[in-house]
Amino acid sequence: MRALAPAEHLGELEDAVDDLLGRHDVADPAARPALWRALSEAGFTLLSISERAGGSGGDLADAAAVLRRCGYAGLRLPLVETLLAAWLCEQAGRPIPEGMSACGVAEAGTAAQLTWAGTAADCVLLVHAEGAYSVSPATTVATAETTLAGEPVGTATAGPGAPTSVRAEELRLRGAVLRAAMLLGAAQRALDLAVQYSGERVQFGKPIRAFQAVGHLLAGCAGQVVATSVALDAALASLSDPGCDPERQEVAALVAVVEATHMAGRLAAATHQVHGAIGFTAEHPLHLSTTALWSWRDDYGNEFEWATRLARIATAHGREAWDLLAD
Amino acid sequence: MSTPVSLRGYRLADTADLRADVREFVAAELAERRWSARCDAWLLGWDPEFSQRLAARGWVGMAIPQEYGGRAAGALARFVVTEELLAAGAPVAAHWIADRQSAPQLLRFGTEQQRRLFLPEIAAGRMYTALGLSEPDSGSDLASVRTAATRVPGGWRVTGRKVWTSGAAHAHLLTALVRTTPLEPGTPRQAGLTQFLIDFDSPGVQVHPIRLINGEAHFAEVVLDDVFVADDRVLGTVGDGWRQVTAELAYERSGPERVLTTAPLLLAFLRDAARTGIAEPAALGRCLARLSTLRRMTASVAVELTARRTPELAAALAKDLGTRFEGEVAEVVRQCRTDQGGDEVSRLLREAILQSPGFTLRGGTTEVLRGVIAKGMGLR
Repeated sequence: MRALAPAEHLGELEDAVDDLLGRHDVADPAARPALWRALSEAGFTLLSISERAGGSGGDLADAAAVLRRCGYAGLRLPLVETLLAAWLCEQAGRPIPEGMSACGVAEAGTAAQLTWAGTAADCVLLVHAEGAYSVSPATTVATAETTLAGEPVGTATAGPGAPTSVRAEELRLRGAVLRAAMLLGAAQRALDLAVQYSGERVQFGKPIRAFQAVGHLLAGCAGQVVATSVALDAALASLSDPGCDPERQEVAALVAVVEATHMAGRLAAATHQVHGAIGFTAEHPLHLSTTALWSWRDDYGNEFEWATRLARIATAHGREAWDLLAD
Repeated sequence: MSTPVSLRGYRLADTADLRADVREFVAAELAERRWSARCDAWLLGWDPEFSQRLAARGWVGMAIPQEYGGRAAGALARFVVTEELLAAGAPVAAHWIADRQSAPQLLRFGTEQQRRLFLPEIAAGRMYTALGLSEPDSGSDLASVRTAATRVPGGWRVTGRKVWTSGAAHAHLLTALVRTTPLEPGTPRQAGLTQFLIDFDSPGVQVHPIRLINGEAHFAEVVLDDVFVADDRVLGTVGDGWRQVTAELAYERSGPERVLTTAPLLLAFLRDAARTGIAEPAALGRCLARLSTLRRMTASVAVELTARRTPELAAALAKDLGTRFEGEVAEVVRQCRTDQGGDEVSRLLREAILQSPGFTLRGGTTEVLRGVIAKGMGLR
């Protein structure tokens, strides 16, 4: 058995990301361009994209480590979208976007309600037409809407594209795995805030964490977070292993995104419950984590869709699905 | 970060050959109709001949060193074999406690004489043990045990009652937690406890089976009436019983049997599902995702244990999630079935439901485990 473990360098990478984020006001939308520049100059925005293609090298576990810490900090920047756009371009042999990018799937040439389209400088679409896929740069228009997490939304229209073997399901699942890393970070932050608050808030003469009901609620949250973390580690390792059977990779990825998207709503509800009313005031930082949990869990799909897909694959294998469920 | 443990993911691919060997063995046993798959077979499936056939393959006592008759195959190999046997619902109950718990305890705390006496028999699948922890008035609050021993020349005299002792009706040896120093006001209750290895055929031992709602009687009450236990049957150190028992809880809490009790039901359902269809695929997919995650969690705890770390928190987390999952499997199969025929799935579903109250009680209730986790998070 090989440990898939976070190698030592991942700890250093996470510390470097924390250090960088600590020098900015992450919650201030006006600070976003400077924050992006700093992350990009440090090489944190294009990890897992080969240096040959213009990326920073490294693997998906490196990229996920950055995403997890950015999720923890409550960052609102198109990190996942830019990674997906660069990966699509790399796969299709096109130049990768230089800055922030939106990314999505377009049926009939347009993608509506696309996060960061019209705000990020670039947008790359995976266009589905006549049974084939192509990768296209897009023209974009921002709308006045934002997501639950307060991220900008727009509409994208595809230009001329290059053919690709990447299918929509593959892109969406890859996006959901990367997003799961951010969800995990956001969940860890929400849980840390709840643990801290439960020690500070005194009711009936003692900190509320002394009440068994509160302790058990938080213990349940820890279980959800650890489960997601274990599943995500396995998925990242599977996806980074070129020798791994594609169906096993898909199953490992689906397991991780089912765990992450299922966890998200539960963690948001439980951590708000522990905080009482102060937790959903605009001044309290908890919402930076919980609005992210509510929003990001629906990116690229949701837990019902992912779970249904996993069930269909397993059922096709019958009893032998047992083997697919841990590799 | 407040998450109390970080569990590393492990890949099980390197053990594919061993898995295939076990599966081939299981298929041959089923083809010969030697047994049928059952839920909760690690408690209900008592079959000494099966245990000995497994031992002949080297699949009992896998973690026992060769000098004591074991295979020294390591925790991961043992994990793979137990996973496959549990998934098959094979009758592993006879040797289960001896293999899982008594062997590691003897290796860690036993005398050389005890190891030479017991370990080769355990590895041969011939010696079975039972755990004497709970009492009529001591369940979750284990330090309140009242079974007591008094010093006599050459050993101890033990009197008391143990209950919920799985396998006591057929096992050879009881590992009993006994008070050897009377409780004095002001001294911690955890002090003065000792573990004894008590032969079930000692004079003064009576076993009364307890019938459960499924008609089975794997539990028993064990009455100890002035039972003589020689000094050479003290396990470990007199007065150190509490530490010894709690140090081994991770073995009891984190194994694949805390996840896979109802796996035979889930796998039988999957086998039929391609033909019958699934009513609620999302519910099934969610259940399968959790199964995958829990298999990885228990695998990583198994590896942690070999490193002589005692991942008590990780074990508590895995057991809390795992045993709740075991009960959910029955609910998900109910939700997903599209036919109600009298097939194997129906039988396994009935078994799973009738055994389910025990899943989140035995080996530490969900409530106790959540307390352990909360403590580990610094909440109390």
